[in-house]
Amino acid sequence: MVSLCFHLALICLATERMRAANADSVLAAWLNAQTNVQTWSASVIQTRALKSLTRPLTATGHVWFAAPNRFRWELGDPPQTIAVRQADQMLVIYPKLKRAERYPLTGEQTGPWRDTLALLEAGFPRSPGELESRFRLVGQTTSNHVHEVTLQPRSASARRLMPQIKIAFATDDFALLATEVQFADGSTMRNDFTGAVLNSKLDEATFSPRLEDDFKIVEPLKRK
Amino acid sequence: PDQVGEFIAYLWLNQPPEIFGRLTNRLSPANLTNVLAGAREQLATSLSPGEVARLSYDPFGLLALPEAAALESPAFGQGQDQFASADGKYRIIFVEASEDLSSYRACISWLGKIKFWVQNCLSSQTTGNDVVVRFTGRPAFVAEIAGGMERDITMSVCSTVAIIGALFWWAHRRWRPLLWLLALLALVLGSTLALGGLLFGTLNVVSVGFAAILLGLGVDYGLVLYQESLCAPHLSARELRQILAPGIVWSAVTTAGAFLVLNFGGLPGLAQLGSLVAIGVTLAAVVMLKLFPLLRLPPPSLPPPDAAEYGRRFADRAAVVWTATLVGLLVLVAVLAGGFPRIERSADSLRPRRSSAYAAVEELKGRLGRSQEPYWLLIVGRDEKEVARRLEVIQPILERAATNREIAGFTLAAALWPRAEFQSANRAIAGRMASERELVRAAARTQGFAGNALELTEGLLDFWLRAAGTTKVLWPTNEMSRWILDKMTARTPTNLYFLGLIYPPTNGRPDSLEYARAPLSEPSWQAGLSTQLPRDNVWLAGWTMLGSALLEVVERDFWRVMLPMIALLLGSLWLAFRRLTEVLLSLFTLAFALACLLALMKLAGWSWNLLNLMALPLLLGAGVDYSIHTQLALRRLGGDLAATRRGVGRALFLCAATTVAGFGSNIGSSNGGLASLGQVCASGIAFAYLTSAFFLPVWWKTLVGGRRFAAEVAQSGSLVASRAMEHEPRTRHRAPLQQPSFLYRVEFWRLGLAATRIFPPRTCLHLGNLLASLYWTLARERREVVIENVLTVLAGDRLAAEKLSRELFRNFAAKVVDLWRYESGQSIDSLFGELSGWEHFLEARETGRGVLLLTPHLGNWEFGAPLLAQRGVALLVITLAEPQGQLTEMRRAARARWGIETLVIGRDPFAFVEIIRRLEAGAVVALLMDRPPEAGAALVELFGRKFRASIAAAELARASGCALLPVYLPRTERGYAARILPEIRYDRPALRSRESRHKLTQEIMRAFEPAIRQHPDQWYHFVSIWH
Repeated sequence: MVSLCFHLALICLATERMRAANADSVLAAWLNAQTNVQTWSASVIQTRALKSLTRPLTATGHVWFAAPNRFRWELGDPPQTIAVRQADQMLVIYPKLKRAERYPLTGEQTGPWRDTLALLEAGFPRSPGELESRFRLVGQTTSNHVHEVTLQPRSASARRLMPQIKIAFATDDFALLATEVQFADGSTMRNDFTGAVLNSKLDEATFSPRLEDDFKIVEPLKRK
Repeated sequence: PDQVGEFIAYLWLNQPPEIFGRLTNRLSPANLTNVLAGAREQLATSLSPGEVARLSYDPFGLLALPEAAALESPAFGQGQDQFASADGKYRIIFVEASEDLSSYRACISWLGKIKFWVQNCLSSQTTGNDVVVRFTGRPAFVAEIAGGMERDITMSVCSTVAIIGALFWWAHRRWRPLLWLLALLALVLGSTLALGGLLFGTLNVVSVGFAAILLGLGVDYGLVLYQESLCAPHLSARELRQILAPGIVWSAVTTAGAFLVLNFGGLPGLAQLGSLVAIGVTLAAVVMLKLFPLLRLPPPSLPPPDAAEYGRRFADRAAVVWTATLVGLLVLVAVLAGGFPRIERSADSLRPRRSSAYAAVEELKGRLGRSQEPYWLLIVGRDEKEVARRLEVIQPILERAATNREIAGFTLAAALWPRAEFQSANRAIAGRMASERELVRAAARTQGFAGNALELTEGLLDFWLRAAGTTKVLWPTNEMSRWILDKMTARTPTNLYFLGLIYPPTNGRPDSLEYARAPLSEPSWQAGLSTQLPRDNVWLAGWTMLGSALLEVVERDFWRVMLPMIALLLGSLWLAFRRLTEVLLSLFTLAFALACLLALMKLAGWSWNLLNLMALPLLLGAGVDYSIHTQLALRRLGGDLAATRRGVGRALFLCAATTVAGFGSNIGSSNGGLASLGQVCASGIAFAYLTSAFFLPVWWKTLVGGRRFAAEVAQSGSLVASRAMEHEPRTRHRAPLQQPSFLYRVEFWRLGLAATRIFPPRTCLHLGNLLASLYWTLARERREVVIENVLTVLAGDRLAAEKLSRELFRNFAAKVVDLWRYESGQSIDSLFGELSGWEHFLEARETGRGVLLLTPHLGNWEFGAPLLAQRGVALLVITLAEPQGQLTEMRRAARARWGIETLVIGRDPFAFVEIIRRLEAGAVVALLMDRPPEAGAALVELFGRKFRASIAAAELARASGCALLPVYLPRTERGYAARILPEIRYDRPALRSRESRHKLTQEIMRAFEPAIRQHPDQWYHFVSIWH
């Protein structure tokens, strides 16, 4: 009996180790696949389950990504909010309000806009090192050919706002399926990506939006 | 959110009605659904986590304050730069005590608990090793400064006591006097603390340094007394006290005066320190004089000085000392040619040294990019409206200054100040909205918002409901609101205060800590801004300004401190020496020591600062003592350098060492300024002592003592004899004092006459008593003369004579005050009491002869004239010429105003002929019997001793046959009593012989003996009377 129990425990331990090793290899494979991503675009359905609301909010939109770090997010139909990350700045455009906010991407500043950036970039790590530098791996599971990685931001300020971020991707083609951000009060924001297109040529104008003359451009972080 | 709600509601209520109206329109019942739908859409599409978080709990956008209010509300602005550094590695946590921290002990205890918890927390976490926690803020500063004070006072007192003990043991090797000395010092220190507590209530951080300074100074008196008692073992405690009292009293007066003038220095801390030391030094002088002489031990035998050895050493020393003097002067000139030590203009000297709380503040400023020290702009008003009006005036001025780059920027959160008129205008609408709360809740529910989404809104509506129910100006009251407002507002029952911050211009320089301490063009921008700002109730202040502003005060008051000190110094020197050369030598000694101090400061890189500048008057006061004692000892010992060194030299060394220890113990003080004061004073005292001990004797010997030395040695025969003479009671060797006091001058007489006209009699009497007591204390020689005069009347009872002499001085003051009233033309009727013996006067008049009224210097003899004038008797007063012609004339004129004629003997050679003529014609003439001029004196016996009396009465009797009536006017409880004694009969023809006239004079004086015995305290002789 003792021997049987011992063998069972040994098998469980071995299975668990194998599972962990397997999960790590899946994550590594996904990260490896990320290096092949030059461009990526997809439709997105964003679901926000906020503690202050009795029902979740849903918004549709589109997202474009170009290696190494440019992206464009559009939310709403027609777009209510457009976020464009360029090499040295991020623009957040509110077409309805004819207003644009410019956030320079220099220095080591922290703050809400940095957290925003973390939130938008969460699905596009370029290497294990980059992922490791910004997030601590909390857990990972695989089911139905979907691998879900749970991450915790290393930055204390980001962690205070978003204690957890989840990334889900397909285990067969390593396509990004969803990201989910959990906020400090328990609210969540989930992005489900569909119709993803990999490495197609993207129009440069996607990442260099032309602002109409009547747009008001502000730099909220500029000290007065 | 519920806490924030109140503050947001307050800010909205302070908005102008049109802006507040826009909010209320937006939140009108008809518009609520749209607002909430918009919030939902934003919540669904916003990419900003901050915005999502905010809208989740503020769906009505109440936090979207008008721009001015939003900018001035740091807690609601963008970013966390009030609480964290840009890299997130430095964070500030504000901790507020739940207990009362008004006492420093409460601060220490509370901070200790906080530190304990933090340490526990750090040690329990694996990541805690990387975390460094520092503490600052009021409790941290109070705990640190108060703890430092406790440590300072303990350490400085202990180290000073230890040094005193060690020095005393080294010098005398006796336990009992040492223990007594320490016990008396403890008594003095305790009494001073008690008196200080009574006077000041609380002691400040600077004044705690008084304890060690007081010990260092107070012990001097004990040391001098002990040293003298060893040198003069034959003297009783009373005699020792009597000999040393004037020196110690003068020294205490000078030192206490030097410390008291710190009160003119403009720095409250130093003023308190000065007052405490002055009190302590005075107490020390009294305690030591009264008690210490009683405790002395049998003296060791002193080896006799060797004159030959002395001569050789003097010659050697003289050459060495003069060479050293010249070399020293050259070195001093060389060092100081490059300038004097610089004056530090910052207020850093007032800051604690090695302060972890202050270091934490510095780090905080550096890490949060606030390295520039802001200036404070304090706006004061009696009510909210007044402050608001001033803010409206100031805001555009500061904006303009910032635009013109006169200043780098400013923080004036005027929008946080309650606006009474806006609150009043908005109150009704706010109340209405609060009453429609249910509509708000229903709309939110409909749009899918949960109850917790409305917490902020509920808090806001609660405040508005409260606002609607009052007409007073409303301030928010919850914890968070108070936390914010306490940073910039303060309220007292009479005034309201608002604080703004102004950042000085950087002029393009790096934003460094060094810069923050010394901004460029500080005077110009300050002056420019100050002229624009309202003058009343608006104050521009700041730590960097404090230094220069205080230094200005100190520099301005410097001469206010120094001039009295210099006057005190010169006065003391003159009274001590009465010889210009010695006064100049003392001054040169002091100057030499100060120059040495300046050179040391220059070489060591020390600078003058707000506190140590006050060392100068202290050094003048304390440092001069060594030169006085040294020169007086040289005088007493006939220029014997070796004897001086053995006697006063040892005492001075101990005094200087203990004083240096007292001041020096403050070098370790936690207060930088006090430490530098201790450093400078200790060095200065050391230089003053070294100069007095090693240079001055040779200087004195060369410049003053050479000729005198030879004469005195020849006179006394030997140095031993000379020194032995020093300890004999001084009265035995004193030349009889025959001149009246220098105070008996026309100037002082005029002053007295004016005072009696201005002040009421009682005040004049008190003032006179005070001055008489002071004169009795200070004028040792005059006091001794009076004691000697009355000693015979009191059958040689010295103690009784001393006591009586004090009373005599006071009675004389009262007599003079009454005399001034009389001579200034005021009524003196009320001063007269009983008159006895009038019948003797009438009998004498009835004979038809002239009457010669004879009186001693007893009571108020001058009042006899007005008394007779009241009774219609014309009187001729015979008097000697006063010390000044003007005074004689003034007093003559005063008598003339009462119809009394004066005849001054000595001025008119035919005066006596005139008196005889008048007496023969039946006139009444008054004559003083005692203190005659040498030529008119007869040696008679009074109380068994030879006494010079005036023979003029006998001469006049012989010449005119007048009646001789002894009279005196003592002061009694019922006023001045006039006592006319029976006529002294005589045989006129017999008076032809000088012997008979002498006999008659003796008889007259004997008639006065009972009266003098009855009123010895009114027998006013301040010159030697016994032959």
